[in-house]
Amino acid sequence: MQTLKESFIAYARTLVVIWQSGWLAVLGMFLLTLLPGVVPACQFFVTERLVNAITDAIGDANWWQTVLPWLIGLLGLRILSTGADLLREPLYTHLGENIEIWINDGIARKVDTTELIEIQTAEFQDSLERARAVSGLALQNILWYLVDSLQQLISVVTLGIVLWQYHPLLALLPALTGIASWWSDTRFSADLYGFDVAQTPQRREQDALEGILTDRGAGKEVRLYQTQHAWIEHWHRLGKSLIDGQMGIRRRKFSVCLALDTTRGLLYAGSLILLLLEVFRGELTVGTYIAAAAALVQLDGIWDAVAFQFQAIVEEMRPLFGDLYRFLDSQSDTRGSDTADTEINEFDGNDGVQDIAVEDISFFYPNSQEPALTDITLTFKKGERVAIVGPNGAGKTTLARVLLGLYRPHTGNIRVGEIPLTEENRRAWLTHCSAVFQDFTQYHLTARENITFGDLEHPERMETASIAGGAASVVDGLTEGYETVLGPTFGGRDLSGGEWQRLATARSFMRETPWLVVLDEPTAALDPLAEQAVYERFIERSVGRTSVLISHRLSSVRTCDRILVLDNGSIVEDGDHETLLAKDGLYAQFFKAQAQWYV
Amino acid sequence: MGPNNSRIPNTESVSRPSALKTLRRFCFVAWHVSPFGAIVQALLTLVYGCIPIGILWASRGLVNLIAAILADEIEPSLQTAAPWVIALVLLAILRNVTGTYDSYLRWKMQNFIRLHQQRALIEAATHIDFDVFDQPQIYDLIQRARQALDHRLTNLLRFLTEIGQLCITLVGYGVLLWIADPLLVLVVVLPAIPSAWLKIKTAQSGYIHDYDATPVRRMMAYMLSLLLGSSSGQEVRLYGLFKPIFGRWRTNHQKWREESLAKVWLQAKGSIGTTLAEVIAYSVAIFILAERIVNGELTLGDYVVLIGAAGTFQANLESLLGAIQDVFEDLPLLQDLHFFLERAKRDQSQAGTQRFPQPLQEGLEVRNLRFRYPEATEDVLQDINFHVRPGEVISIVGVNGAGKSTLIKLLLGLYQPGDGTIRYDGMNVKSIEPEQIALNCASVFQDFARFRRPVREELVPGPSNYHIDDETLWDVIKAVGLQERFETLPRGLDTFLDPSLGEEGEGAELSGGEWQKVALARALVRNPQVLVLDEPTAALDPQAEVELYQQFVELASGRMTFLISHRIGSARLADRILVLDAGRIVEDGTHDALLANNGRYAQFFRAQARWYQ
Repeated sequence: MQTLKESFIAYARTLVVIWQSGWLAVLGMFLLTLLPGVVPACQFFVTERLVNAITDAIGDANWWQTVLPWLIGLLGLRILSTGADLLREPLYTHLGENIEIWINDGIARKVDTTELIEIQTAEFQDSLERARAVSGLALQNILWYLVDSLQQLISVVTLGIVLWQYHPLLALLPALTGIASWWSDTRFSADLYGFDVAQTPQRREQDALEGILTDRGAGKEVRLYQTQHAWIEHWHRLGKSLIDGQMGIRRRKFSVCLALDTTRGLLYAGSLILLLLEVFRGELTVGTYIAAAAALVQLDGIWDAVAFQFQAIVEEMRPLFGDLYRFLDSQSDTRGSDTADTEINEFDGNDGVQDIAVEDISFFYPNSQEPALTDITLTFKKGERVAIVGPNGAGKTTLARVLLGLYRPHTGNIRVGEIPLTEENRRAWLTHCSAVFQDFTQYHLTARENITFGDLEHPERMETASIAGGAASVVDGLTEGYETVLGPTFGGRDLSGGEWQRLATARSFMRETPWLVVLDEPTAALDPLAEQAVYERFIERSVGRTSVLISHRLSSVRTCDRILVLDNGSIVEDGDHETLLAKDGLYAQFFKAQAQWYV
Repeated sequence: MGPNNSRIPNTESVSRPSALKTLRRFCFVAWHVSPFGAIVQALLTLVYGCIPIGILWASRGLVNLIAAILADEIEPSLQTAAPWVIALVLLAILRNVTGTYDSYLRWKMQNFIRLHQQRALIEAATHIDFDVFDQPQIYDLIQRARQALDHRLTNLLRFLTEIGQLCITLVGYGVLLWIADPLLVLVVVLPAIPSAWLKIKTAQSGYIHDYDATPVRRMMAYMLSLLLGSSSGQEVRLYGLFKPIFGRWRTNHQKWREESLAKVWLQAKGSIGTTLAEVIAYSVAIFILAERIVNGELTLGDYVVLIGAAGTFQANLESLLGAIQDVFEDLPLLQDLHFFLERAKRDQSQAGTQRFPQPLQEGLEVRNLRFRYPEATEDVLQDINFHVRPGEVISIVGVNGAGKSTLIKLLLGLYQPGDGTIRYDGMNVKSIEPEQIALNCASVFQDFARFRRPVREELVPGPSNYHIDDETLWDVIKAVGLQERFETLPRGLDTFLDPSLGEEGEGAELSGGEWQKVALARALVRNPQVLVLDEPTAALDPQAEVELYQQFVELASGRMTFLISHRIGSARLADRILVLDAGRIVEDGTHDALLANNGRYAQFFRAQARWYQ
């Protein structure tokens, strides 16, 4: 739970964010609430005079002379309040858009400056998802409620002062109803929120089940094994218990509300009788009565709205405070800031490829006691073609990511030539690398963007990279060539896994002279002939660069200069194909296991 | 590319229901969920619609009374005023109470309608023919309907009751005004017309109901997902894509901002004229009224009625139009949904009822099989003929896209053949009850499902009455090599296989290789007569792969087994090899025969084998 101080800071921060998103517009919006705020009180006055003017003029031929000024006054008031509403709308839109930028900029920057390893944890993704769900709407709503409730507070105060003259209770009784409904709103909203939080596991399970049952990939097995009935029943039970739980709270709220409604009615009756007694005593004109009766109804409505808005602000603040601010402020493992981009890239001074020395590197995944890499020491000589093989979970991909500077090792150093890799130069180092990841991204944009994303500063290299990566033949088959939109998100052409793979390879070739290239097991979904083509293309391109290949299929790594066998995060063998076969260790065992099919 | 563009093609016996029929069916759902709730909701709508009229009428009476008292025509006493005061207070209480009850009941109705509709959608999704379900546009429809059911479609109930209630109120106001002076009706209604027209006009010109579905917003969402995704993150860092991609988000956002501001200004400009017209008409109405009062034709009470009715007529009319518009915007999706439900009902009713032959005697016979995906222009499979004996092990070999996985789905009855037949012991797979297939066939698909359920359900999905005792389950877990991993789970076989599910921190996260083993265990646990292994080793390391294949002979023994593998060498384990190329069987024989044949298979084999020579 949040302390009072924390809540105060959160509220203050919200106000600052709103203010900074455009203080002129914020000021404008508040000014525009002042005038409409006093309109109800003015309306009271004008209506009273208008009605009295009409009654006084009965039978008078020149009646319109006394009536007309008040009529025009009424007209002016209506124009004023609608006009202010109209003007507020564009200001509100303007601010809302600025707030959306602020939030998304904050979230994106937070992710960009957080270590990749942390982003990949379930906890981070979870809090990121919750922060994103907040969106700009909560802040926008808060602004709207603030402005609106201010206007209405002005209205109730001014109208209250007017009614006070006739009888203090006329102003006080409606205020009582406002406080009562605010109390009940607040109380039950807290109950509902508490219930909601407590039910999160059930809701997640229900969502997950629904996802599986309507998913295309899982659909095959759901049908094949006919498991849908059992799971739909379970899904239904979960859903029903969620509704029933809320119903209980809502039923209680309902009975409290009924009592409140009746009380409100009785208070209204009291005000009405007070008013009538004043009339009977001859203190009021008929015009005053009409205006006051209307004002009573109005006050009741406005107090109700104010109560709702106060409650709504509290409710909108919850996700802001609990999810967004907490996410933005969370202490995360940060990576070097953006400044590295603008400063001198210290690797630029060196001409060409360097040896990469790995010294005593260890690496742990978050929440894991076992190291993913233990005391790895070796040197990748410049221009060397190195293969990394090993069982699942041996740390192959982890090692590649550490080499690229995507993961920060917990102990040990990496030196490129003479320069050690540091927090400050890791981003710069990345600009000298290239890679095709196992889970490369399929950009659902144009084919051109899929390739040029590899180096947006040199779009002219696209054709060359496309041919080298084997993407040219894919693009030839597309109706609009490089401008064809790919992937289902925007209704584009969908490609096969192999075709996407070629685009990813072409993308990695956009950097013309990388010092280090990594190809991480791309072949999971490829047939043997396609697989061979990928490796051949890659090997062809990697002449003169240090390259790292990761693969399960030993056939494709035997032509490498050097093969590293990783097991349990350590290098257990290191040498070329012939040496390792002769050594008769893990590699030889793997190789023979696979080779036996082909003897 | 709008949200409602992808219409499902009508099929022979099922067509898209009309708008009226769809609305009727929606009301029927409300009735079905709770007849009592539906009736009460309708009554509340009626009462709630009438109350404002009653309040105006009582106010009129009270004002007339007061005017008479002040003119000394009547003695002032609370008794004469009492009927009007009581009426007013009771109406006010009634309004608050019905409002409270209405929102309570509506919440309940909406949630149960949502649950009901979601269930119908999920049931339909699991019953509609799989080749229809597999189509992108149907899949898209399901996902859109799921989202819409979360908010918009359940709001339909609110819109509908609002429409009813506003209609009653508006007609009531009209009648009150008419009684006072027919001219007033004209003065109040006429200026409302241009404003209504403007509202419809701006709605057509692009008031967006579901703005997240517009291309600009979708592009923005996509750009953010690239920046924030955990797997796209590595390329964003490697290629320095943060600034360019966020720049695109900003560009699109700028576009969006300009569009929305332009729209708001347009609306504001339009509103200035109509607001003026409305306010002036309102003043004219008061003027007319004042004249009648001065001439003694009307009373002050009529003034109160006019103020109340004319002042809110406009706003009520606008709400009414807004609600009608909302209903019409939601209708197409609802129509699609109902069509989808109808189609699924038909497909379910056409499911087979026969038992699966047990044990298989003659085996599987495939004759003249042809298959084409819906909306595709070319056949994926054609002229497929082959026979498999019970217990025979078949390897299916071919390049990506040759039709291997499609053939498997046909053999398992997931797809219906275009032409030709698939028979197990002479029984057409179409006529076999799906639950019977579930008990006799199993498959490890290339993209096997990760259900993220508790271990027990993950390994033994099946019909409600299908159970496997723990001992058998542990045997299978041992056989696939997951024993060590599963023995340490905090809740044993009831542990969720997802860290975000179950009690905090108790869900387990499996690696790719472990998942593959889970998929295998899932297939083996039911001891199937027909077993399909589609790339069962894609996520396994060489050692695990070899171990699996060493077990393979044992796993396959006594079952009709189909093996698809890119590791051509493993095809040798099969009794027979089918080579698929461009949807046809081009070779069929044993490993040795096909090598000697020197065709497609031999080419594949040598391509891989040369690396191991």
